[in-house]
Amino acid sequence: MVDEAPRRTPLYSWHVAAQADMTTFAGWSMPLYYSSILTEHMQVRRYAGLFDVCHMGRFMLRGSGAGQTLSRLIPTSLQGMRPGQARYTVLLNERGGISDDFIIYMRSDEEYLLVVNAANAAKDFEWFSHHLLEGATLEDVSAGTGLIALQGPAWAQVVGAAGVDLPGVEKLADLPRFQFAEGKVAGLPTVIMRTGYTGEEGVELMMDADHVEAVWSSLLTADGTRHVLPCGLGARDTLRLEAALLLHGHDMDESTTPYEAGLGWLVDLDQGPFTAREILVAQKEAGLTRGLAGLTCHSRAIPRAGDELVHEGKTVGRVTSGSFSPVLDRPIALGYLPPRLAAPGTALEGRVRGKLVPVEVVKRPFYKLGVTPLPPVKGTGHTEGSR
Amino acid sequence: MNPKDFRFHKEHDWVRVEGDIAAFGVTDYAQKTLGDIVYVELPEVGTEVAANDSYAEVESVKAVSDVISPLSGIVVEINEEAVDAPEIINKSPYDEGWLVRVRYSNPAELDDLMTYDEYEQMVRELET
Repeated sequence: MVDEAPRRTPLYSWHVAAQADMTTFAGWSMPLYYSSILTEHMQVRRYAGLFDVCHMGRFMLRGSGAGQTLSRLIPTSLQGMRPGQARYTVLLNERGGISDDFIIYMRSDEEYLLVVNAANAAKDFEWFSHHLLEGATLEDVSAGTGLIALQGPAWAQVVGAAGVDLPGVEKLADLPRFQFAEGKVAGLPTVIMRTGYTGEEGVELMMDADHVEAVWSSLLTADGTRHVLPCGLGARDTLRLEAALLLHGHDMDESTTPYEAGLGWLVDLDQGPFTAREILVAQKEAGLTRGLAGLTCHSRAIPRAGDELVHEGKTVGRVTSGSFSPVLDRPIALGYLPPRLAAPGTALEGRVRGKLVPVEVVKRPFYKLGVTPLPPVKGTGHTEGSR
Repeated sequence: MNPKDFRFHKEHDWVRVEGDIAAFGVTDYAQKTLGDIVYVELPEVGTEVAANDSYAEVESVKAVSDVISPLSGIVVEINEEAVDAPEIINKSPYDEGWLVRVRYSNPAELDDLMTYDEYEQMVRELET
């Protein structure tokens, strides 16, 4: 579909008017950044940033067979899940490989919202459609709805300033992570979901496609003096990497299993049958030959996706994501390594643009909310402690 | 420093002639396109550089780019400040963000470079 014009979200005109640097991502024309990736990154860590994520796929799975359909396709147990809760999981292919990662939002035991990656939306829709059990239906609601993410410590203050009405929830900040509620933001019907992809507290907001721009604009201007900044996909990527959140197609794909990708915590082998369960059982018994590891580099050259990882002169793995960490002020990366070389503290080399640079295995995440101190604000000499 | 007096290479590099020495750097368009620069690798003093060859690397959050030498010569000075605080290349590409000073060996190579107006015209065409 290379020859098709990139698709546009309901906020496309807004981005162009704001002079965003636009890029094509997964077939969509999206803002890469408005001011600069570093500025937008730190804005989210220190205050709050707003992201257009309308490109992500949104499906409604409904009917008496909906829950059973889901359970057959994912390694995660849905037992004990109640309406209003969200759960992160992966979709597996028949070889146990991860064909996508996504979030399930349970509205009732006969209605689930699935939010999937833009790059995999068409493939996922087909996979779910082919595996619907009796009494289950699937609807792609992406075009009729919008999705934006407000992330950062000031999120509740910002939503509050834009005006929020959430029946049954007294204080917005009390809505726990991985829960959601339906109400109004800026006077417009909105699903408020305590999820995100930045390592910060925050919300993702879903509303009618016609209302996206009104809610977006209200959030940007509501909070008086310290305006919330719009943020692009560039900062979204550096934020998620600092938090060691995986990007499908890079850090996991159709050939990596949840165990290899460090997502074993999603797998419950004791529940009923699901796709590739036997393969995961066998892998768990046999042990892994490779696993995802966090990496840092004390030189300043950044190991990037595809760069080789070298140990005693031998190529032992590859980088799957690499960038600069604005909080740590040094390169960070994710990559696959044999288990014997994946322990934190292990010294390796990375082949970065033909040259070998020292690389060290470190614990994930690189940035942990409330633990990792933020760097001083440039130009003020003022140091911030950890929150 | 007025870039109108500089000469420009089509790969978005500039030259400022200071007698028999020339300072090199990357253009405003280059720094804008790269975005936040976080790493610069410069050659050592004494390194020989050749016109149209890469002599340095500039890395931003989103990408890494070769820096092309507009002239041939020997590196006589490098901007340590740009190595320590690469963001000065974003802030001041034509002045504080210079990269190296070179004793150039072939003044005739200057004739192959663009004037400010010619370079600006090229950038305008790239942007449309």
